Amino acid sequence: MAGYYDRLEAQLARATVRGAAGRRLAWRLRLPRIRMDVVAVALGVAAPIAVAAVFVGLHTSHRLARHIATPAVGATVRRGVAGSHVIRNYAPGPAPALGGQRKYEAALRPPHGGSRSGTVIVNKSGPNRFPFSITASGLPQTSSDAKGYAVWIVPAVQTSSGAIQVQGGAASGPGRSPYAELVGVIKPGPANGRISAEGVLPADASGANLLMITPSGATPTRIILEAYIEFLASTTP
Amino acid sequence: MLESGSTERRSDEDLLAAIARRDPDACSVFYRRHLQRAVAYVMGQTHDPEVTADIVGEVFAAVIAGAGRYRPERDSAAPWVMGIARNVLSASRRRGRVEDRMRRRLGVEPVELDEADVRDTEAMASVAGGGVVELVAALPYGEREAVKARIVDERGYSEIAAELRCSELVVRKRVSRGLGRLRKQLEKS
Repeated sequence: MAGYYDRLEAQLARATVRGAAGRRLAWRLRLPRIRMDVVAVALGVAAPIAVAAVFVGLHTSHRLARHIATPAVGATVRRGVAGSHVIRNYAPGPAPALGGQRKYEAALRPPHGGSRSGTVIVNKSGPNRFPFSITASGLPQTSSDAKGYAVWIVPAVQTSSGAIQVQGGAASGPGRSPYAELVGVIKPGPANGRISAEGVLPADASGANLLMITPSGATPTRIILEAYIEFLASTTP
Repeated sequence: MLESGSTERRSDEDLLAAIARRDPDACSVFYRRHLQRAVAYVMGQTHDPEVTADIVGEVFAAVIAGAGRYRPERDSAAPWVMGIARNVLSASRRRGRVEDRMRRRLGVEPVELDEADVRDTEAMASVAGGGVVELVAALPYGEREAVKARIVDERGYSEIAAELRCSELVVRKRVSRGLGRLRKQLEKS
């Protein structure tokens, strides 16, 4: 057996002796039994108060309503423009090798078809550090870096039919999800329509996300390329 | 030595009852008995040795925490362990990072993982597969999913039918056909 698994076995054996679970269970069993009629009365009082509080909240703040309606999908909720990191484009040359261990690789595709294509690779190079690379071709040339491309991620899930459901709304444009986060801006712009860029995902980016390449701007307006990325962050050091 | 040998021969039910009574030897025997299978299962789901090792730690912590609640339905506790592994995987996917609630609750400290451990995890998963993994992967989609769910995960036909959105009869046929194909392939090789 491997060293890790030996050490894990020793830890688990010690945990068995300590019996933390047993103590906690015993503590729970000592709790007084709650009478259901008391619970029903309490709920009857609490429910109208809760409903009234929600309506007051809706009236005073639309943003508060958004918090209440936070979708259950994905534990990490991100919103807005978190930063303006530069994602360095090495095209027409290749980007240097990504450090760390490969976590995920996915094809970048235009959402409505077309000849543009690419690949996104996500590595892990340290605790909660996820460097990524993007290679893509067929991108429209931009007149300046300011009108270049930005990379966004938004929590999403892939349904059994393969469709991507973005958390909290659409991926881009009107009705877009408030949880989209700007990863960075690709600079300089494409060389002969090509991008060979590297950057670092936000530390809380693990899980299921839609990665989007859009024209640079304050919000993701129009998706040029997108890829569904899903990986788990490990808790081992 | 005699005690150790007798512990090794105990049933899963006995071992889990002993774990609930805080017997560390029973914990070790149960862990060794089910480790490779758990590693192979989780690795098959995540394809990531680092995450696999992490999840396996949480699975066995949950085994210890839930040992007293185990109700034997079969001779082996393997389906129960696989069920825990499935739950840990699902919870981890929802969170976006590996669940560690049980380990924290039991005071299990994080165990460091190095490159050798990553290779060992991969080796353990492939040995547990024994080449059959590749053969199963080559099965047609419906048969592959049915065989994996029934044979690898040891799940019930009704549960698989609900997940695959077909009747139990169809699941049984797919499992039967899939196993037939596997048998032929193994005979050839």
